[in-house]
Amino acid sequence: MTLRFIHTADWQLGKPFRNFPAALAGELAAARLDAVQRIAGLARGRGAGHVLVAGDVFDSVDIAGVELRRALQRLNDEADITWLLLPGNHDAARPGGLWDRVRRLGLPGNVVALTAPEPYALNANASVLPAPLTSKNPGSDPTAWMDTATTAPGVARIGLAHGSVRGFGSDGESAVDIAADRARRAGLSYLALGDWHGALRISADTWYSGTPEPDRFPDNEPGYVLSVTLEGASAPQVVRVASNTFTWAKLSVALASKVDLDGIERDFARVLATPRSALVRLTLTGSLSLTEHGDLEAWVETWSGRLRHLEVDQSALHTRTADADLDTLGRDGPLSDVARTLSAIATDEGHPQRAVAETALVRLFGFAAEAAREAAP
Amino acid sequence: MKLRALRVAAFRRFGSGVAVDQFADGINVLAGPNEMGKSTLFHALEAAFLRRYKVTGTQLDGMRPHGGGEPLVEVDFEAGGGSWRLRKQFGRGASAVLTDLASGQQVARNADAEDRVLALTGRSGDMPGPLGLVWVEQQRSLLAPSPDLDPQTGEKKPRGEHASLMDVISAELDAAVTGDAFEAVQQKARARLDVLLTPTRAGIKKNGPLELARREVAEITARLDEAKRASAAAQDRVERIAQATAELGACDTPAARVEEQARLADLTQRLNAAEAARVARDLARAALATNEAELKNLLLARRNAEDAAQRRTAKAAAHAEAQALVEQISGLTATINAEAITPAMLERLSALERAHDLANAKLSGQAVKVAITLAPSATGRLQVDGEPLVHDAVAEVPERMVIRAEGIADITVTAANAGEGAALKAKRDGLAAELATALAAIGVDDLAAARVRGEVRACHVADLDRARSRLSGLAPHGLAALTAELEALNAAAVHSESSAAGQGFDDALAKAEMNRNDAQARFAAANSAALSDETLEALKRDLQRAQAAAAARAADIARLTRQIESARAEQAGADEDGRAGQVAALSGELERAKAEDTRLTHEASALKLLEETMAAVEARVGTAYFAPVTRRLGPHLERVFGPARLGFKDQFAPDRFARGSVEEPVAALSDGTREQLSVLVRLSFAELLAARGRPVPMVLDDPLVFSDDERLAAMCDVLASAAAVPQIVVLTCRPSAFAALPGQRLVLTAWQPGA
Repeated sequence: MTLRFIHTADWQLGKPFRNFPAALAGELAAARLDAVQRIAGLARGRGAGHVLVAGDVFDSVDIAGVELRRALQRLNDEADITWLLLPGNHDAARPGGLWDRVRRLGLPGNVVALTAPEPYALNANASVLPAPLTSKNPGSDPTAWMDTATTAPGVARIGLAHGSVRGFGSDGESAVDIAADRARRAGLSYLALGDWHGALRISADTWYSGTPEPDRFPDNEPGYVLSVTLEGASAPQVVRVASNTFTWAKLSVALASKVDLDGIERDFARVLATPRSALVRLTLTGSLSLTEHGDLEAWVETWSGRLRHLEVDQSALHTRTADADLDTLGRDGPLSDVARTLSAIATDEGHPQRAVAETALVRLFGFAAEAAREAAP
Repeated sequence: MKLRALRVAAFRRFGSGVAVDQFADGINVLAGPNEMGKSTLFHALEAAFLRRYKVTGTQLDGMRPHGGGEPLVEVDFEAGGGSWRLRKQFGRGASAVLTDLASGQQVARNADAEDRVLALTGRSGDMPGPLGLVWVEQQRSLLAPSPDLDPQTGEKKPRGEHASLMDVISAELDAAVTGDAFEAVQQKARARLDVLLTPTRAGIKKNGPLELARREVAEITARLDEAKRASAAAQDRVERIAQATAELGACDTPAARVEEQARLADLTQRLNAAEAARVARDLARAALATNEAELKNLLLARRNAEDAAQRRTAKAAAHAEAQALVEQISGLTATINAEAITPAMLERLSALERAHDLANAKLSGQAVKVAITLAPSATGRLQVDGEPLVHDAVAEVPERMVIRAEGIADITVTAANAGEGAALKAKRDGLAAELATALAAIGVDDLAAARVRGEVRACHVADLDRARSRLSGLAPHGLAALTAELEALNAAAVHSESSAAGQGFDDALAKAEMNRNDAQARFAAANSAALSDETLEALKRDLQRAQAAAAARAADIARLTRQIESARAEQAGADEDGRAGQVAALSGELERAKAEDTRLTHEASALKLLEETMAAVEARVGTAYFAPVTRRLGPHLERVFGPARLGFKDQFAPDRFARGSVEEPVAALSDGTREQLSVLVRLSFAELLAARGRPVPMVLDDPLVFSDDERLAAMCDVLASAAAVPQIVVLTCRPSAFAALPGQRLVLTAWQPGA
C-alpha cells in the first residue's frame, strides 16, 4: 500500500511582525495565514489527504481569540484535507490553556488536535504517534513513549514531534531534546519533526520540514513543506516542495569602493527569484569615501524601492575623507576645515565620538551637495 | 534700486492721499514739523517692500488710519534697468500690482508681483533681502545694525539680510572662501537640528521627532509591561486551573466521602447513646433524692413522736412530784406551825439563861468559899444549913451558912457583903424561876431540850424551803398550769402517737427504706452506665472535629470549584481582549521604536557635532568676513572721529570702538557716538551692496538727534560724499540741522489715488 502525506511545521500563526513597518507586518502575517491554502493546494496536487503539522501551529499561547478563529476558519475552508495539529513549545498544551480554548471555540471536523501521547489512526494502514508538548520545557524526550506504544501489526507508525535533535545542526529554539534514532528505536516508518525552521534531513526516516513561510532572516532553508510517501517497508520518499510567498535573505558585504555595490546586485540576482517579494538584511562593513557614501545612499534608496524590504546595517561601515571629497567643498575653504576636523575624529578608532563624527561628515557632504544642486541654475 | 515716487492713502496719519514725487539720485531731504507724517512715509516704504500685501492682524491694524479705511501704498522705483510701479492695497480687497512704467503694462499681480519686486530689489533666496539693513526707523538709529534682527519685535528672523551681506562680502573675498556654501550647509544643519533639539541644543525639542520617539519608547514599554503582566496573569490562570483541578480531584474522592459519612454517623450515634444514658442517670438520681427525702421525713416524724412521749412522761413525773411537794409543804407547814420553840423564843430563853448564869457568877464571886472535907467517919454528921453533909463539899456562901456539927456546934459562916449577896441571890433565883417558868411553858425541862426541839423545827423549815424551791422549779406557774400543760400534752399524745406510731407507720417506714435502697441501686447502675464528663466531652470534641473536617472539605470543594469557574470566566474574557497576545507585537514595536530613538539620537549628536564644528571654524575664519565692511567704514570713521577703528562680533554686531590708543566697548559709548557709528556702519553696508551690484537706497528717519553740531556737520559731510550709494533719503523735523546737506528737498503734495 502507498501512503502519501504532507509534513510541515512551525506555522506560528498570529506572529505579529511588528518590528517591521505596519503594512509589511500585515503582509507577512497574511502570508502565514495564506500558507494554509497553499499547503492544501500542494497536498491536493500530490494526492495527499493528510497534513501533519509538527508543532508550533500558533505563535503564542496568549494568541487573541479572533486570531484563533481566523486560523480555524482557514483550516475548515480546506474541507477535503485532514489537518493533524501537534502542540509545540510556542503553543504548548497546558490543561486549561490554549488547546482547551481551541476546543471551546470548536474544532472543525477536518482538524485533529493531537494533545495526548496516544496513537491516532490515520487509516486502516497507518497510525500517527504524536509527542505533544505540555510546556515550553518538558525536561524529557517527549517521543520516548513511542518505543513501547502498541499499534496493530502491519500498520505503519508515523512519529510526529517537536524539538531538537542534538548534533545534527538542528538545535532549534526550544529546549526539547529528541533522540536522533527515535525512528529506529520505536519502529517508526517516518518521524516528522518541527522546531528547526529550515528543511533538514536527519536520516532517511527522520526529517525537519521547516516553516512553510519564512519568518526571519534565516541561517537555514525555510519555505518548504515535505511531501512524504511511504511504500511498504522501503525507506520513505521525501520531496521538498517550495511553499513560500516571501523570500528572506541576509547578506554581509565588505565595501572598499562603490564598485562593490555591483557585487551586491549580483548577489541579489543570485539569491532572489522575485526581488519585489524579498526581504533583505544587508550588513555592510569596510569603508567608503564621503562622496561614495552619497552614492550608497542613492543605491539604498533605489533598492528599497525594488525590494519589499531592505534594512541596511551600516554601523560597521566607515568613512574615508578623500582629497577628492575635500575638493568638492573647496580645498582651502571653511567647509574643508570642518570636514578635516570631523575626519580627525572619525578616523580615530578610540574616539568616543567616532561614529557620530562619521555621520556628521556624511551629513556635511550631503548638505553641501544639496546646496550645490540648489545653487546650480 | 532707486526710489522715484511714494504715494500713500488711508495709511496711519494720512487719511487722504499724499504723494512725494520728486526723489532724485543722491541725497533727498524731507524736512517738516513733527506731526507732518515722516515716520508714516517710512512705514509706507516698509509696507511696500517688506510687508506682504495680505498682512492681517496687528500688522494691518498698525497701517490703518484712525478714521478707518483700507491702506494703499504706491511706489515708483527703478531697478534692474527698468522703471516700475508697485501698488499695494492692504486690508479688504488686498492686492499687489506691479506695472512696468516704460510700457504701462501690469507685469505681475499679488504674490507674483511681490516675488518680482523681491527679485528686483536684490533678494537672497526666497527672503526679502538687504533693505532692512539700510532703512533706519525713527528712534532705532541707536540700535547697532544687526542683520536679521526684526526692529519691531527685537527677535532674530531669517530675513535674508545676513545672507545678502554674506553674499556681497563673499563676492569681494578670495573666491576659495565659499561663504555661500558654508552658510547654506550651516542653515541646513541648523534647520535639521532645530527639529530635533531646543534652540540652545541643551534639550530635546518638544513634540519633535526625537521627543516623539522617546515618548513612543516609553509608551510602548509601558504597554509591553502591561501585556507581559496580562500574559503572566494568563499563564497564572492556567496554572491555577490546573492546580485547583488537581486539588479538587484529590479532595473530592468517593472514598473520602464514604469514610467521612461513616465516621460522622458513628460519632453521632455514640454521642446520642451517651446522652440518653446521662439522662437516665439524672432521672435515677432525682428518684433517689425523692426516696431519700421521703424516708427522712418518716424518720423525722417518728423521732418527733418519740420526743413528745418523752416530754409527756417527764411532765407527768414533774406533776406527780409537784403534787407530793404540795402535800409535803402542807405537812411541814403544819408541823412548824405547831412547834412553839421558834428561834426567837430560843434566843429569849438563852438570854435568860445567860442573865441567870451572869447573876450566878456574880453571886459566886461575892460568896465565901467554904470547903469541907469530911473525915471518913464524919459522913452525915455534919449538917450544912440543915442538910447533912455526906461528902466533901466546897460551898460558896453568899450570905451565911450554918454548919452544924450536931452536937458539937453550929458554925455560921457569913459573907462579907451578905446584903449584896442576898440581892444577887434573889436576882439569880428570880431569873432561874423565870427560866424555869418559860421552859415549863413550852414543856421542856431545860434549855438544852428546848434547843433540841428548836433544831428539829429548823430542820423542818429547811425542808419546807427546799420543797417550795423544787415546786417552783417544776411548776413555775403553779401546779394548775402544770396540770394544764400535762393535760395538753396528753391530749396531743393521743393524736401523734396514733400517726407516727403503730404498725402502719412502721410499714410505711420500712417501705420507704426499701424504696430508697432500690433507687440507690438503680442510680448506681445508671451512673456506671453513663459516660464520665471527660469521656463525653472527648466524644463531643471528636464529633465537632469530624464535622469541622467535613465542613472544611465541603468549603474546599466549593472554593476550588469557584476558583476554577472564576479563572475560566477570566480566561474567557482575557482570550477575547487578547492583551496577553500583544507581547510579541509590542516587543516588535518596541524594537522599532528603540531603533528609531537610537537613530535620531545619533542623528542629533552628529548634527550637533557638525554645528559646533562649523561654529568653531566660523569663529576662526570669521574675522576675514568683516574686512569688506571695515575697509569702507575706515574713511568714514576717520572723517568723523579722527583715527579710529570699529571691531565686530559675529553677525556684524559692532563690538569694540578704538580711538587712538583708547578702546571701549560700544555699549559704553555715548548715545551720540553710538548713533553715529550705527549710521556709518549702515552706510558702509549700503556702499558694499552698491559696489557688489545690489544698490539699494538708504533711508534714515529722523537720524542723528543725539549729535552735537560738530559731529552732525561731519556726518552730513560723510553722507554728502557717499557717492557710491545710489540714493540717501533723510526724513527730519530739524531742517536747519541738515541745511548744510546738499541734495533734493522733498515736499508732500496731495494725491488722489486712481483706480
